[in-house]
Amino acid sequence: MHDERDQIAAWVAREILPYEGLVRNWLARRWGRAIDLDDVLQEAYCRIAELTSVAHIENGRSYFFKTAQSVVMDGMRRAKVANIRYMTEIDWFDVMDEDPLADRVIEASQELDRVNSLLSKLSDTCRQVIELRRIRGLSQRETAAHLGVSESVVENHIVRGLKKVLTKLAEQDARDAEAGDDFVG
Amino acid sequence: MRATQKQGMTSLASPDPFDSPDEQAARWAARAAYGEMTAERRIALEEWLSADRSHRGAYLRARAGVYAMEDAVLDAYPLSSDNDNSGNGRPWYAPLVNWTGRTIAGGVAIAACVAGTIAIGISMQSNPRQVEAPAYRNVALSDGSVAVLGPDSNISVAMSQGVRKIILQNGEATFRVAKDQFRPFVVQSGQVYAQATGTVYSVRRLGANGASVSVSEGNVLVWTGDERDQAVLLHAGGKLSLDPGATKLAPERPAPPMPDVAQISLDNVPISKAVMRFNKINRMKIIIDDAGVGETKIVGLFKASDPEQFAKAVATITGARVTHRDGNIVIEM
Repeated sequence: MHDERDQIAAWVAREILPYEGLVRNWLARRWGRAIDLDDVLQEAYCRIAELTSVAHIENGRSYFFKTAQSVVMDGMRRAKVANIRYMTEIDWFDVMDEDPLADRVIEASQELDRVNSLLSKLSDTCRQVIELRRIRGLSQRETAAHLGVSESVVENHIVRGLKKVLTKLAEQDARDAEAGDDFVG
Repeated sequence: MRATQKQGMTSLASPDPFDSPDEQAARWAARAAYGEMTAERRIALEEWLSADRSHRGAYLRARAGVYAMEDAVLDAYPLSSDNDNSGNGRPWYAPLVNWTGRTIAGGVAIAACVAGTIAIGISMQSNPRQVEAPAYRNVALSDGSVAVLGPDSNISVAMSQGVRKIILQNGEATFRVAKDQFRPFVVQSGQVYAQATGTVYSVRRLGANGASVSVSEGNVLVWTGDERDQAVLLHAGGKLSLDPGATKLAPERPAPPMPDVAQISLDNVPISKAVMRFNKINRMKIIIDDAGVGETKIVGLFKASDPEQFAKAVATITGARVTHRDGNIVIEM
């Protein structure tokens, strides 16, 4: 029962989650207070959760933007808001650009920053748990015994780490914008 | 996200029903991946998921978060672990925990099959009555794992005390790996290695030295030659093709060779940020001498290797001027 779901969750981890901050900023810039950002993102995740396969989606980032946009549009249509602002062709340029390969390569170094900033959010125990479970293949009980803690402590470390990681990912874009300033001579 | 309180959670084993859906989703995702999912809890989870549509979205996000967290840890892992291991000469696959009882028991079992490398060939047809050779053959390995071999596929098996090693000589094989945390299961195809402890994955031979690995369950580490410190971790659904004869590894989609003239496309980004991109790939750096220019946004498609052209465009947009200093390009008002 979990096979398909696992694949989709792994895909979301790679293709959707890293862009959450970006999508949030974009929604805020475009619609501002006309929408509830949390609601829109929540609904976007619900729609993605309804997918039974993601094999047909070529670019997760674009898909995320489009999904968020259609959530906003549906909401406005329902509320019969008069001043719907449809996306023009030019608006899509802001969103849909396929970064050329050279850029993607450069982004690898930003990716490393991202990994490091996520790691800094995790407790040593949380990190050890992941290593013991996923690399050494220990069971939950063996992991707890190895660390000398109870199984519920192991679980709690993971919960705390996970919540910090999710918060960090939601804020990601703000951090990138700051990093850019360092390079101005 | 929004903290709405939902009714109807009764099981004591479940996360606190008065937490926000995101909070509950994080608890469930952590429990599913790292806790103990009893039948009772599984039912409670299903109930929670069907109680509200938003729960399913929050749960997906949280589960993706678990993967992101694991990726971050596992990306950084080889650096720390190899330091640990190189010091005392322990091989990388040495078990972390030494439970003497188990190790000895394992040793006896292994002695029985220390026949070195056992070649498993075409003779292992599962149903001899079928005249047309079946496309796939199931091969049971001595450790309890099962290999499903594709047509014209051959593997060699070498079980030793520390490692279960399979060599894929040609073709394709899917492995349902019996769990044994003390003996990693490593499939070698040419110079590519794929390691798991308990999982299901396929390896397909690619050219003389390469392999294509795809994972249907669990996690698999993939690396080439002795570059285990640069291993890539594949999750369920992940796929990686490596052909060490050709170039370095290309995770996910095998990327086409980099174009000679790469382009940088800018979609309404601050010039300061765009400059950062150019400076990362060009020896000739662009220096912005005016904060106002840095904040101005720019749209366009530029040659990545031509910072000069980009600087001129910036000057045109902002009214700045381009000069040269110490071999670098300076944009100033």
